[in-house]
Amino acid sequence: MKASPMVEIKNLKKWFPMKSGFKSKSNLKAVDGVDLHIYGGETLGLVGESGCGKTTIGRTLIKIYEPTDGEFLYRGGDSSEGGVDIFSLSESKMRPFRREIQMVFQDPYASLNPRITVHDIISEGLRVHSMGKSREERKSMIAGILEKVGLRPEYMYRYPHEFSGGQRQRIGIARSMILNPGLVICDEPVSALDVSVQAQVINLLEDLKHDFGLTYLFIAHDLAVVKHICDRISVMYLGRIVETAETDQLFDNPLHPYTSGLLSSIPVPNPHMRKIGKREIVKGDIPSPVDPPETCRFVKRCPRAFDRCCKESPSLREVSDGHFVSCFLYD
Amino acid sequence: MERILEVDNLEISFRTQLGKITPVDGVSFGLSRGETLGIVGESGCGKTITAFSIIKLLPKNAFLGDNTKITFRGRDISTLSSEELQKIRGKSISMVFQEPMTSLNPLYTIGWQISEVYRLHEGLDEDAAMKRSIEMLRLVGIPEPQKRVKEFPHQLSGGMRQRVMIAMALACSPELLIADEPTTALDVTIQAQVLELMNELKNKFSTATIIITHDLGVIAEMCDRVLVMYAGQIVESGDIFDIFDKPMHPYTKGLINSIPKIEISKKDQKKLSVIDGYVPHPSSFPDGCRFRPRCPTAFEKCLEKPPMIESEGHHSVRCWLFEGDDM
Ligand SMILES: Nc1ncnc2c1ncn2[C@@H]1O[C@H](COP(=O)(O)OP(=O)(O)O)[C@@H](O)[C@H]1O
Ligand SMILES: Nc1ncnc2c1ncn2[C@@H]1O[C@H](COP(=O)(O)OP(=O)(O)O)[C@@H](O)[C@H]1O
Ligand SMILES: [Mg+2]
Ligand SMILES: [Mg+2]
Repeated sequence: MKASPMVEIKNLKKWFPMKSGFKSKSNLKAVDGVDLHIYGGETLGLVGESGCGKTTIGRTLIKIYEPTDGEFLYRGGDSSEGGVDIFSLSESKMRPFRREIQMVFQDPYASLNPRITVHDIISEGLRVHSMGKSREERKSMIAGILEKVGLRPEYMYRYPHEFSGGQRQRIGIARSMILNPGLVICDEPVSALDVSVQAQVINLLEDLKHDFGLTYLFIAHDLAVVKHICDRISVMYLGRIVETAETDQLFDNPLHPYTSGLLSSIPVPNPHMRKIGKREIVKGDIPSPVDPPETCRFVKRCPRAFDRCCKESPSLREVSDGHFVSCFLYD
Repeated sequence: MERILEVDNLEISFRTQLGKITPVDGVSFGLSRGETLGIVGESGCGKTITAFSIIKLLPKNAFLGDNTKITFRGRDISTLSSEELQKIRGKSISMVFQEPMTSLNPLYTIGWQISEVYRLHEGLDEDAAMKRSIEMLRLVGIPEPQKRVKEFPHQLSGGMRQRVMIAMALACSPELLIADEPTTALDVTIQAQVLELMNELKNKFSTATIIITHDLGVIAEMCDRVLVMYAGQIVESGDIFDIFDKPMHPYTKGLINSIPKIEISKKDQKKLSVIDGYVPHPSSFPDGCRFRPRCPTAFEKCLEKPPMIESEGHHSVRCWLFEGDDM
């Protein structure tokens, strides 16, 4: 479809060692061998149920967490033709990428420091990255970005608690966007919002993407939102990607049994399309990511599992143009 | 079908530091056996306290209006003694909440908590009650129920706890089940399991059900009738198909149009329409129509309080646009 991707993530792992008093050490394998690629200018959706490792991927990409293993090749911004492996950069070389790659967080209540004004929240990044020559210039930049995200510039002297959830999310978005990023990781930016406010923020993110020429990694669990906003989608299950495809392809022709179960589970807001009593149910609960066995991660809940699925772990393979799946049914 | 619940002119007020607020007023609806009623609206619009008022579980600083009347199976609940109420809760009317951890006691085993329902309400002895509990857990899809009854709530996953809550709520085959955001905290595959379960049990026991949610998908899947609430009032009510096919109130239309359409392919998706502004707090509800400041079709008349106007087939709307349409 396109040339080479702007972002390539290869075999990303993030394990959290468990503090057990005795025996061999256990690991919580939150992200365990993830491959993703994102083309410049697109929105890639990352979906999956809670605990599957979505936020951990985001946090590892912006180096809040140190990766356990893997590569993160980035060709955006000022970097050279071939791209750089961000994970291998020293802290000083990393600096421009700390500006270039931004994250918008899920919880608009927890992600803003309640003790400082909106002006100070937003200007922090400007100062860290030496943007804006003077206090005055920074102030006018802040006024500009606030207007851009739909807030009145005079709000910059207010504190986070004076705003509603939707407005706080706009502040979080302004804080990221003012740094002129190339890649923005949006971690469930609308999950905590009511539907009418959710629509406002979705439209805002789409407008900003268009106006600033951004690339998004859009993390969510609401598949209707993801279908609306994303060009391609990667489906995650227990630390791994099980399927990646273009949006319509994924919805019309899901290959992985988890993807089809997930899609079938969604209640459709149209009483003429009721699935109750007829849907394909994904049985059981999400298993624990602590030392998962080297089998297919979905095997215990899979209606189509066979011998091989309990013995080996499938890898993500391209089975048709741009459609990747990790399942022995397609081997 | 036999009418079992009648809520007439519900008005709920609270004494607060800011003085008296009245987050719910003029809410009336009824429910028949076997029927599922959905209450939908954004957070803060009064769904939970409406449900709590039915079983008299409102906080201490709350009080009901003088003209409020709630009748369950023909009896005015304000006249019931606390023993009678206790009996009704858990036996005739059960509730399932959004966060099961707050309603399951962490100090007792699952088995003990469900059997208590049978001991209290059906007078069964310990062994018989435990047997019935195991049966009920099996019915709601808990694997190895004999083992699970010995476990404590924290040992179960969120989806499992929600099923235990439903098992407890349905233990005595209640006539009315009130489910307040029963699946909001759950993942979508687990939500599907719980909704399927509620549907099966409803078909089996003909329980009348009230489902409170902000998720129009859950409403469309489960309900026969819908109340749309905005700022403490019902703004539209009707049959499920009328609400989705022919929404009348600008708020209902706004809600339906602001959700992304999963049934439409990506290439045909349109920009979402939005409802401008925010839900008002009860201390500052606008005069006249409460939706007026956010309404794209507001006109002078909307400065006056709109009445509930009934059109065809019990489809009612609180909006001046439909004045004269009533029958
Ligand atoms: N800082 C951490 N320390 C230990 N475990 C963590 C940490 N962050 C996340 N986890 C665990 O990693 C798994 C994936 O979590 P997360 O990435 O937040 O999932 P998601 O965003 O998909 O809901 C979960 O089991 C979670 O408990
Ligand atoms: N104990 C209370 N004291 C004062 N106000 C309350 C109390 N409980 C609820 N409210 C108010 O009642 C309104 C409706 O609340 P609720 O029924 O929880 O809404 P919903 O369930 O639709 O989100 C809210 O605006 C809330 O502020
Ligand atoms: Mg997360
Ligand atoms: Mg509520």
